[in-house]
Amino acid sequence: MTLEVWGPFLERFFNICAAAGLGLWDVETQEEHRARVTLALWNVRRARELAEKAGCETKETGRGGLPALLLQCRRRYGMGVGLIALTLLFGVLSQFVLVVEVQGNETVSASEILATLQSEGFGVGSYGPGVDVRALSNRMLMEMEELSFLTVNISGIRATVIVREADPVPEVVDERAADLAAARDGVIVRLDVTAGRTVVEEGQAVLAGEVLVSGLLKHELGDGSGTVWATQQVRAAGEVWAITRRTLSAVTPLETLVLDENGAVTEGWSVEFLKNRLNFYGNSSNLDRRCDKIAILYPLTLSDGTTLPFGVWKTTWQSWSDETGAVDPDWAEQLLRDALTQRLEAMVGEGEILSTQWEVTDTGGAMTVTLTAQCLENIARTVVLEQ
Amino acid sequence: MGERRWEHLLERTAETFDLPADVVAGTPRMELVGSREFWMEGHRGILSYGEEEIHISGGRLVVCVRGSGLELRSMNANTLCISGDISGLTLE
Repeated sequence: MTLEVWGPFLERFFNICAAAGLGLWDVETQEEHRARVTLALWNVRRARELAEKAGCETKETGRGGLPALLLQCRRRYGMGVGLIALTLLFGVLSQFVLVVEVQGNETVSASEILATLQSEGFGVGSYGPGVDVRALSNRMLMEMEELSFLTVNISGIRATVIVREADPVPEVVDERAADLAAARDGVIVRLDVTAGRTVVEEGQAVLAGEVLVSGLLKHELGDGSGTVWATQQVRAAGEVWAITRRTLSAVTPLETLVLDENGAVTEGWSVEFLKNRLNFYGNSSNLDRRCDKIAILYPLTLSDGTTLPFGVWKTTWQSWSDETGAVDPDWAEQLLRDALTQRLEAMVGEGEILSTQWEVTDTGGAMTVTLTAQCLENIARTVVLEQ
Repeated sequence: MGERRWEHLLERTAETFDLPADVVAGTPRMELVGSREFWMEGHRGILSYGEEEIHISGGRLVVCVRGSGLELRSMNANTLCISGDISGLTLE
């Protein structure tokens, strides 16, 4: 509260106020022997008495701050109740975890850690004081072997999950004796064998499962007086490149349901609060027709980009038509061709597709696209020898 | 023994034993932040107040703060703060 004070001995007023324990601040000199001082609301009465003692006069010039605001709310019950409710809301909300961030992870993704934490009962909306960090940490370390250390620091609404990753388990090298066999039929064009005994040659046709490189080696021993054979089992290694033939096919219907452009579009709104949703519309499952449901979340975001678990959902339903519409055959064929090419490329891997042949058939309202391809690929597959 | 002599003795004792004089002898402690803010702990009241000169009692000495646009920022029984363009401090 601000008070204007004037009199011949202003400094005397300041001194007796200070001696009486009344704190003064923001003392502005108006003119000679006149100043405006700020002091706490509950000290005003006493300050006026002291001013009188010091031979000064006073006048109230303004009120501000929380006490003045509360006094204003004295007769405005709605505002007062709202203020108290807001204070309580903030007080309660500050006890819950609203933001969770992960630090210290390198190879394990933050989303994986957060999902595991969620499955262990900790996440956005958890009651902060109720979190047993030690127990949570133990459960998490048992659940995620990739982590060697985990702790959770909860500060207000923000939880920081600090992790350290465990040293990766060294890869176990399989050293069991094995053959290289053909994974599929083909004609061999190149042999790059680094271990084992080659039993096929370039230009030879092989069937799936046929041994290409044997892991069984034979050595001739002795000084020529009598031949002695010794065998040794090794793990055959290498690449056997062959020309193969692959056939893939895919089917799509040529008729489909279409969206009813003139149909009703229904919108509904809901509020999300700590992963709970409050809908402001009726039961959407009562819609009598099939429809598309599109839901968009508008989350509450802080200025630093942190998303809080509060937001508004806008849900839109658009009905499908009862009638079916024809699919453009060119579009459908291209779609299937792209899908088949993608599948073939994934199958061939490091190899290459030498030639392709396409066949399109239309049977009973469905389109079938068949791809026949000649490929160059590594057909060697390791088959462990029986001991 | 007069009060002034007692304070003087306490100050000398604090100095001899390398103790903080403001704690032992209750002498005022002053702090100037740049040339815009002056803090004083252990004051004994303001003797005169003006925009260009403020005299503060520190017990055995009087502190005179000179400058322009001087204002009493805050004041309580022990501490006061003066802000403004401070051009000089004199101990009298």
